[in-house]
Amino acid sequence: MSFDWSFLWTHMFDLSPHYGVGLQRTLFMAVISMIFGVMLGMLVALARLSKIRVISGLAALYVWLLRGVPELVILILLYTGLAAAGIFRFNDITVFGMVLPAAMQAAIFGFSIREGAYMGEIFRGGIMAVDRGQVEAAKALGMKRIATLRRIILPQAMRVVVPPMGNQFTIMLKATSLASVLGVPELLLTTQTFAAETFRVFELFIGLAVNYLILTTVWTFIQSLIEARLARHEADTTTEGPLARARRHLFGAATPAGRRAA
Amino acid sequence: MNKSDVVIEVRGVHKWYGELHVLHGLDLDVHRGEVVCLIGTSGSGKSTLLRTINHLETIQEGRITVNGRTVGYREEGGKPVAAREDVIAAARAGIGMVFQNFNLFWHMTLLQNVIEAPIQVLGLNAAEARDRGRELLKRVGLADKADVYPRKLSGGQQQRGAIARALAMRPDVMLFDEPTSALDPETIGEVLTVMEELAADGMTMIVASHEMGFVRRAAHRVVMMENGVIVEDLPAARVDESTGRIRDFIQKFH
Repeated sequence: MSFDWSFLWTHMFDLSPHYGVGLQRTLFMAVISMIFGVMLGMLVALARLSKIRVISGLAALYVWLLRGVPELVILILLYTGLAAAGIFRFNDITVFGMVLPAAMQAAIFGFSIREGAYMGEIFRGGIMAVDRGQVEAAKALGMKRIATLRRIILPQAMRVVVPPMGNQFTIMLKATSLASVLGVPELLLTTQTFAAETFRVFELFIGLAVNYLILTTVWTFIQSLIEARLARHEADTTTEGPLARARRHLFGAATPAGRRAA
Repeated sequence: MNKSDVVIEVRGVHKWYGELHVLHGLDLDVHRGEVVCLIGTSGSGKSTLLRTINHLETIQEGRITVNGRTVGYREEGGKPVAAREDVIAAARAGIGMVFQNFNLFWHMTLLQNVIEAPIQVLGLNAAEARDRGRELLKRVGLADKADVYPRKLSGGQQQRGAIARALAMRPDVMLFDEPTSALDPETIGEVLTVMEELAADGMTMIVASHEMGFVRRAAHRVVMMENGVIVEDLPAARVDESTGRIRDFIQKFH
């Protein structure tokens, strides 16, 4: 069977009869899991930085566990494993008039707790990167701990946190494809189903790859704009515009000609 | 000056960092409107003393009061015990502090720096805080820099901004921790001028600094520290008559 170009062009942006819904599910899972993951990550970071040993220890244990186990294993344990053991079974629920299927709940739950571990480490790094003098200045002005955290530490930590957080979202966009294993008909599973009907696996998966590339590329540009906005108080904002920033994200930092020769 | 004029009272203060004994039972009275210059080599305890006054550092023995009230601790059986966070914060709000490295919040413009604590801590409304903030920036010669981020300012401008930020809390006393040590020589003068104007307005100030020009023009007293104790305490007008450690110090460094 030869490669069918016309089939690829026809179905590039319409991988199956359920393409639109699949795309929606992919984006929905990525965005919701990222939001939960970021909130959880904040708590994990604060817990890890706690002076109370038990709390920081528990947070460290959490990070170790969720970063050390493959995501797919986490998902299957949560959805299939817990149900098989009779411990917990996800059921379809209705949120704001929308049915949230059991498998999708398990997937979002799994993505969120995994993201919480990674974001926890990213936030911790960001908070630790804030100069102690900034905290002392806030204290000396009579600001309390919570106000100092909210108004001084976190906004400054964001400069360090946002670039890796953007990368995490790129990873999340792609990782949602794992939900197909639980039977969530997102982009990958709808394509797979259609491929099974048409036997055009190669064409359809090239099309699917292009679809993921478009998602991650669009996100990269959005991320560049956010980073440029956050860097507005740096002295050298003019040196790297959003386009150069996006190029760096997509292809890595440029090598200066002189250094390449050396 | 009589006893009731004492604003800052330091009595028998001891401070240890682990094994290291930094302040050895130190006593110091500062009166209302008085400008006290703290001198001494690095490691003599000047910075630590300033930082204990607004409780950025804890003390293990003795007492420190500002306007008759302890800062950051209450006394139990003659020993200082840490107070609740809101009590510490409220006490600090009345004590302005200026740091060697300015420590302006670099994610905020100069004006935002100046109005942040008045809004968060004193509960001023934004419009009122902005009006006062602009007035203070004008006073330190930075009226045109209100909307500029700190990283785009010179060291001298940042330090003047930091002074405006501290003044925005309407403090009773101002502590200056080596305010010109991190500055380029050409910007030191502009910071000292602001400090001298503040002194002339009657602000109670403790300044850890070796700027003898400032001492001669604005200080009332010079206090020399060595190894965590005060070794000489003279009226500023008479520093040149010193026969002790202050004379040695001035000869060595100036």
